[in-house]
Amino acid sequence: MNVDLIFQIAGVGIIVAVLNQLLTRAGREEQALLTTIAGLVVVLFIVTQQIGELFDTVKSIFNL
Amino acid sequence: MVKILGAVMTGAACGCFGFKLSLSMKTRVKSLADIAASLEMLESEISFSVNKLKKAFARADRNGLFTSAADNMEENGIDRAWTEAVDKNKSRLCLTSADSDILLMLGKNIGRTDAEDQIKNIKYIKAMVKEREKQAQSDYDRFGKLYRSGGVLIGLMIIIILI
Repeated sequence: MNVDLIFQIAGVGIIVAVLNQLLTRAGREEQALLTTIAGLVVVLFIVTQQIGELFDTVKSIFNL
Repeated sequence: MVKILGAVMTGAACGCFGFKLSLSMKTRVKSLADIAASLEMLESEISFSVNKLKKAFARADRNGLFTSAADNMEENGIDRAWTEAVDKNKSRLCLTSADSDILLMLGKNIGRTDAEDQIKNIKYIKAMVKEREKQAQSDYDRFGKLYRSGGVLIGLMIIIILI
């Protein structure tokens, strides 16, 4: 099991949360929203690879 | 090993960028305050001492802008010397183009008309510079910290994504 991946996603999450707070305090709500969405997209990119692998595994298990 | 080195360099570069942005905002506040003080001095030089413009510029100087205008005032004329001085010092003093546009208005009117009219003009420009200084200060208060911590955080994020 690849634990690094979880830490990576957690790290991105923490940093995006802090950036979001900072930008909101500075009165730049739009950019805060944009940062959050960018973080989400980055994490999704990381996760999609794993999901693809999961599908492959499921396929091979059931001989589809 | 190379990975750690790369991570450190990326983080340091992003952090430096943020600090530099914040520092340039701080410098802008200071230079605008200096220019406002210089204009005040220039005003009293013109109204009370009735000095020559070159001497008045050199005496009113706070941050090198007025001295560099005074240096080639005789060969180029006041308007051109002032424009060149503003262009030359713009990046050092971290002034935006709107700031320098206001300053350039000074060169158009100074040394042309009588003292009273010049003082009126200087007062007008000084008021605008002070207004911009206030705005720059509030910008620095709002965004200075954001840029400092934002630079470091974005560096960290790039490291985490790439590692």
